[in-house]
Amino acid sequence: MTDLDRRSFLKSLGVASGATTLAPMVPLWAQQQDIGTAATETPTQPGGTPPGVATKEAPGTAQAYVFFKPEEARFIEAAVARLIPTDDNGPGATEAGVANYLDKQLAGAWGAGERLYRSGPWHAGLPTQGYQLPFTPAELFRNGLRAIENDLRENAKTSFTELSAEQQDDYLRLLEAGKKDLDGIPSAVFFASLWQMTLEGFFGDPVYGGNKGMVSWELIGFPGAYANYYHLVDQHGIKFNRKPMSLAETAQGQILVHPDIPAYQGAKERR
Amino acid sequence: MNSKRWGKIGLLGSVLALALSGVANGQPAPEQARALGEQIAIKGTAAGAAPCASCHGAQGEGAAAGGFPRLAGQPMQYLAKQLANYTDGSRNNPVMGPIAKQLTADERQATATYYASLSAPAGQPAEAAAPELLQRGELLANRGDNERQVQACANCHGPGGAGEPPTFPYLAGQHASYTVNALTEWQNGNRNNDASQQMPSIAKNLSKDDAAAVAAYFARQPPPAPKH
Amino acid sequence: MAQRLPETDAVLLGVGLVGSILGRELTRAGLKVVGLERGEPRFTVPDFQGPQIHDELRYAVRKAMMQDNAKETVTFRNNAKQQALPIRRWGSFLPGTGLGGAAVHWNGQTFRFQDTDFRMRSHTTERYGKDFIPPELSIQDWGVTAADMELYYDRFEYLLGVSGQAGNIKGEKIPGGNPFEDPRSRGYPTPPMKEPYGSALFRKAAGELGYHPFPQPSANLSQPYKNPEGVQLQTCMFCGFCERFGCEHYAKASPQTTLLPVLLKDPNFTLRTGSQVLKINLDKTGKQATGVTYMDAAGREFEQPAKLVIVGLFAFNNVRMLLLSGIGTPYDPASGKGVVGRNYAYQTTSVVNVFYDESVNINPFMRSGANGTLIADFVSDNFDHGALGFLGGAFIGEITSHGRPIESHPVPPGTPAWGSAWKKAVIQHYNHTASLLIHGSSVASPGNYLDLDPTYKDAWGLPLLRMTFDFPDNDLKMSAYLTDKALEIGKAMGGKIVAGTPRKGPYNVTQYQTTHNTGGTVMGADPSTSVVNPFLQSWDVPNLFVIGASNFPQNASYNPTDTVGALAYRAADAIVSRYLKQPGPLMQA
Repeated sequence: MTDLDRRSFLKSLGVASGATTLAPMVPLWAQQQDIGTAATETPTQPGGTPPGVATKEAPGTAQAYVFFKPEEARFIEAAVARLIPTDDNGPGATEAGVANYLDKQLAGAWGAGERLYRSGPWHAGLPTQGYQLPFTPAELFRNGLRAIENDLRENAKTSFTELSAEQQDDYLRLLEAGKKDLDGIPSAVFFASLWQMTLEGFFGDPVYGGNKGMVSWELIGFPGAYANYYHLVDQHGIKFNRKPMSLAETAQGQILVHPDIPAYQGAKERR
Repeated sequence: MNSKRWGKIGLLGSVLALALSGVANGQPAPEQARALGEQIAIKGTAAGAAPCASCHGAQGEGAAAGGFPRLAGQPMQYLAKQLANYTDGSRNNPVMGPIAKQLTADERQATATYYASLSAPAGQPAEAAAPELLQRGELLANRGDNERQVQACANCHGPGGAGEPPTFPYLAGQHASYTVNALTEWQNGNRNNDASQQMPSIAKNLSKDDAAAVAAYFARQPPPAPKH
Repeated sequence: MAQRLPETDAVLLGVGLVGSILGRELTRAGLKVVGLERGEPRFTVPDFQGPQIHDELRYAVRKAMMQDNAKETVTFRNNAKQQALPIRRWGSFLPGTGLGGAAVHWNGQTFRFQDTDFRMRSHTTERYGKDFIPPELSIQDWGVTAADMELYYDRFEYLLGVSGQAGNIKGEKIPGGNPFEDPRSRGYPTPPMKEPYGSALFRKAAGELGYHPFPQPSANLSQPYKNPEGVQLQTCMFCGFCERFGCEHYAKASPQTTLLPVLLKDPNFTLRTGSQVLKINLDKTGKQATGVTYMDAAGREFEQPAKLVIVGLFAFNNVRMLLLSGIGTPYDPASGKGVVGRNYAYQTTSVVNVFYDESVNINPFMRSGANGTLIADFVSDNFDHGALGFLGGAFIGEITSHGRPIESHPVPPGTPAWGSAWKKAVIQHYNHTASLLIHGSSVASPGNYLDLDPTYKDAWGLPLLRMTFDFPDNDLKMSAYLTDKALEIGKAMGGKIVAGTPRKGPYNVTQYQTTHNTGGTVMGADPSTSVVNPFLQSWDVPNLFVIGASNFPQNASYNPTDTVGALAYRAADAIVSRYLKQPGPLMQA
């Protein structure tokens, strides 16, 4: 699916236009989502809302980035949309709010290097020895994203979001293969971190700000945090259709998340 | 169930599908089953089974005074299993046993399907409960008690006691009188229909006061909303 | 300056599985015991409660129950020519921390090692001749036999309430159990767990191929069980959040669900959490331990004098504690002399995925930690190694423990690593894939060892432990042979695609394999090749006992916990019945 097709596809769902009235045939995942990253799908207008900054979809659902700067958010939103695309098979990283997940993780203890041994001396090490850079995850992203932006501007006179979907994929593959030196960060290390966090934001519990509406769990059939299968495990081969349940779910089926994560309606309701 | 189907079926269909949603068969129950269930619930059967509604209320809301449980919106599989267990004696109950035995397997299934599809407003707890009792109940419901080696009810009965279909019934909004009776039956063996033996084990670790506390707490929680 | 505390009869380093067992046995014998645990106190309620405990990101991905690398880690290199570097985040293995230790977040797989494991060198020589063992392998006997261990395995399994099917009771073979096991005195305390779908498919295929499938012995219980301590366990609910998590149901045997409710009420027992032991203190002769020095969570230093010192830390930390305290001779790979840190071994694992079409719902989330079905036909020396060119073996089983999607979203080989095709494959295969584990032994070799790192320090300023390890060729050959066998079984299971590769070198610390790190304070009857005698008493300091998987001279095919628990009971028995009556060496060198 080309990028243009994808935009048309999303537009057809009433997403790109921010429409709130939905046709009855629209899949549930599209109905439920306040698709917070519509910014990437909407051409940026001079003087308009800068991408990546508080995009207002509906009352009470303001989404703000607390870590990413606008140009960083632009890259992250576009990159994760290529890593796990929105396509005929259903929602992708965009609908799941993966960019929001990355933002909140990098702004917090994870970004600051919790549980990371951070004493030198520093050596590049061998692949068998694992991560050996002095950067915390937040520093790794900040430095890596700056280097990527510079690389594209200086060497291709463009930015990641101006590339076609195919070109974006090609560039991500270069990063993945370690073909770029991002100011001392091997691009394969950067890519591996981006991919791991994309997986976390897609498949993790919605309480962390990704997997909104449990879209990925619906896609694959994972029932979520509430889980007791003693009575079912020996009913071999049954199709288990229970709607997934988040660990932040209330008896009324609402998912309440920490009020510091502003992407959610629950934040307001809980106060 | 693939999510796209949800957009196509109407509200009623959704409710039915959800009631069924635990296990397989996947398809919403035939409308005939629900209709038969409704008939049994309201009129009883020719074979002599009393109408369910006479005790469990017109909407399956139950009745606190008689210890008759809410049935509305409980998982279909759970309800069907209880009716079967009243007939096989693993739930030994002098009222429900004879009634369930007067139903055929299909009628039991239909009745379960019907009640799973209902929603009923929350009842008002009849009697007052001391704040300490409710605090104790909340603790047991949501956190458990390590001294008694009792885990939280929510572990299996879902968020806020909202149930975990298809196996685990909701407790939120259930009448306290019924919940106390049920725990007593688990303790004394009159109810022995949990193959995992987990529920009798937990019930036996609860004191009489604990059972009253947890029952009073859940009676004051709103029953789960009909889903979608 | 350390504040000196009143002397106690015994001090425990670590209150995990070993510490809890020794604490219980020694207080029962009337000793006053102080347990020092570096981590937090934690209990089923309120620490392991649902739904919060079912948090894949926090516990499984970010490893909340594990030792904090920022404070204390291990440095690693594949061989002595390389510069060892710190493992800055855990990957290949996950040392735990906190009250109850790793026995809180374990899966509950509870296997006995075989007699041929305990007598690996002598058995191999007896069966294949004295030249069969290559000189580059430093495998050796344990100084115990399966018969010596039976009583203690039995005791430990009845403590846990293990669910399983015996295969050999007092020499009588029992259908449905493991036909290769050594005689046990009685059956398991509780019947086997329910068999999940993938495991049933494995059972059928393996049986048709002539193998002997049996249910995995599990410390996630199949029914409620009251253990001999009077502590009640409950039934496992197959939630799919077991390893790396605590259990909310009181259904996984752990110190919290088997021993601590009794031990913590004993007035002879004092638990001090947040207590990081810095060293074991010796008297002037260096032959007698006088106690330990530790630092509490607020940074205050204490000296705890004790008549008896029990080291029951994770394998790495048992070794490191001796090295930091100057007890025993450190192993020197150049000369082959010395024993502390010698014979570090691991586990040689690989995976085979069996991809079905979308009509087969495997439901991988309906699992427990130690459920499933396996075969022991290729364990240890249960098959003829004569022509194979390697020693050791593996169990092969369909023992998947979860379907948590961040960690587990199998796709067939050739699938792109990301993008639409990847997503499509994940959707297609998530619920329709069974996974076989090949869980293999690890031989000891002189180049694989543990010592103190010369460069990197922990948060207390003490040298980190340095691991030098790579897979011996012997184990890579074993993995190749047995991964092939697993591929055959996978094909017989009817998978549309069956894929898996043997373990390949070099050993890499970034990908999870197992936390079965063994050796370094090896047990044995010969002090020139062991740190402790067969009762786990230090050869050098007789009032010091070191207990854990660090005692294993090499690692066997099965998971280690049952053997660690049995060794703990055996050591406790020796202390109570012999040492306390006449303190001193239980065995002459």
